[in-house]
Amino acid sequence: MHTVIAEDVGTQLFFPKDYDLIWSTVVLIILLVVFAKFVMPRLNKVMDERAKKIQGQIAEATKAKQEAEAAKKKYQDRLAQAQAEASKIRDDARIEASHILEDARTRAQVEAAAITDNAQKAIDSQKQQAMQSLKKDVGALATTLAGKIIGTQLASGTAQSSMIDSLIEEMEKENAASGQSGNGSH
Amino acid sequence: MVFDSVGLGGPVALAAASGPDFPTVSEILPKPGLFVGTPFAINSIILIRLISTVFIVVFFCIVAARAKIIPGRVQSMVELVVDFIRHSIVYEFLGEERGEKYMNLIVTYFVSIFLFNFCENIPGMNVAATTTIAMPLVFAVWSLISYWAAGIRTKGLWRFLKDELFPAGVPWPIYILLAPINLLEITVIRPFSLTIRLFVNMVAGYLLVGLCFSATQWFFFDCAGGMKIIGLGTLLGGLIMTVFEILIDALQAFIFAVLTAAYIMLSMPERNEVSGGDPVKAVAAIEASRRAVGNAVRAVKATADAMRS
Amino acid sequence: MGILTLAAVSGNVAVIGYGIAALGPGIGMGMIASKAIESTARQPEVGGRLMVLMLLGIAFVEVLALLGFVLAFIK
Repeated sequence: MHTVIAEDVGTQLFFPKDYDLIWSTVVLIILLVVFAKFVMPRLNKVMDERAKKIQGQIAEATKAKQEAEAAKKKYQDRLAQAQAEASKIRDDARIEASHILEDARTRAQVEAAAITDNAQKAIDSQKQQAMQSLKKDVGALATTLAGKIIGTQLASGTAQSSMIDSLIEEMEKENAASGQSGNGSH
Repeated sequence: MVFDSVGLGGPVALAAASGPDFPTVSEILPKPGLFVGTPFAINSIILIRLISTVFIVVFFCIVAARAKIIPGRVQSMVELVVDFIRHSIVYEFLGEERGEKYMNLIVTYFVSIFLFNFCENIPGMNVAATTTIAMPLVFAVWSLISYWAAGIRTKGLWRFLKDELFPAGVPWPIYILLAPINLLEITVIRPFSLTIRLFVNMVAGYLLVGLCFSATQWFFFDCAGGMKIIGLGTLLGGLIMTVFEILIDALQAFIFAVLTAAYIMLSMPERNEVSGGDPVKAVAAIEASRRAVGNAVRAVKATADAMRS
Repeated sequence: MGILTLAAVSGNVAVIGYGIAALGPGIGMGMIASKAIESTARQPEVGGRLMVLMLLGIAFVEVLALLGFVLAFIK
């Protein structure tokens, strides 16, 4: 009895029962259908969507980065350009300033020279006038003085004036000789 | 009735009477309790199978229905498993293009076999839903149908049989021996080995864990004094075996899925055309070139460092 | 003691048969695992692939041991 059951049981393990087979098949078919028709398509859809989204985001991020880099480059270019322009303007200004200064200086010098010239001329003409009036006055004064001293009126006006002229000429010569070195203060 | 067992349980029967309540093979051949006599009779293992099927269907339908682009914890876990199957099994053996079609099959196999197996670690169930031979047999027969269908669809029946029975590059007299063996291989041996592997692993797991815990029970409650200490050892053994069984559950599910994928690959033409020839060699070549590039980069860096310092 | 009775040959001969049947596959699995580890050490980059191949190989060898287990049940 004991051994008969034992043998029976051991061998039975490897011979499937019909109801067991039927339920196993049912279970497998249910599982396969549920997974193939609902679970896997759903999961795949979600996972694909996520992959697409992540890829899109990565692409977007790359694009944004590129744009940012382009903007930065543009900005830097502009900055460099502006700096170059500024330095150019500064150089120009410096050059122009030096030109202006030079001009001003030369003009000032010219003006100064002109003023000095004019002054010189005025001085000369005044000196001339002074000499003229002096010649006239001094001649008359000297004649009067000499007449008073000598007491006599010179008979001929001609002799009188030629004598005065020669006297003044002599004085002038002396004066010129001394004026050349001293450049008089009169 | 405990000692009706055979095989591993047999010798223990002689210890009789006061021995522990060791698990027996008749426990995994339960008598049907519902619809007895009809083809839809249900015994306890079938009940466990139905319960876990309902669990799998409900769980995965809820996860799939509530799947969002930003995954929650449970969804990430499920996606991790699906991704693992996709990349380590399906793409590895079938390539990306052809593999996508078999994703449903392989995922179903892996998930359901693992969860069926896992029932043996759940208190109250204690027996895997795959512990009657019918369930592994049905799985194996479906994978037989799958790889025949794959072969016939891609090559046609005659090309498929010719390629399988008369592989190229063999001198013709060998075919006399090889053809029957190959025929046996693709019709019987493959599904049979798939079935036996899964089923016997589950039976052995059931017996081992049961052995440890029944011995623990016996040492703790039926033995006197010092013998109780031995119970600690068997308890520890039972815990270790349980952990080991969880590993075995996952491994068997993985191997079943991998072998199904491999059989499908073997019946399709131009294996791994995608990666060009032998996949292992291709992978090795790619890896070797990657390593070479890495070395070159490292050398350049070292030179640069040396120049800098 | 159950252990002593277990040691007596009066038990189930099929268990001894299973023990012998497990020897060859045991050695075979050991060789597969050792070769896989060696190869992984040599080329760590293909470790994942080798792992799958190792499990496949082990699965094929395992069947032989499991056949012994089956035959221990069928007298």
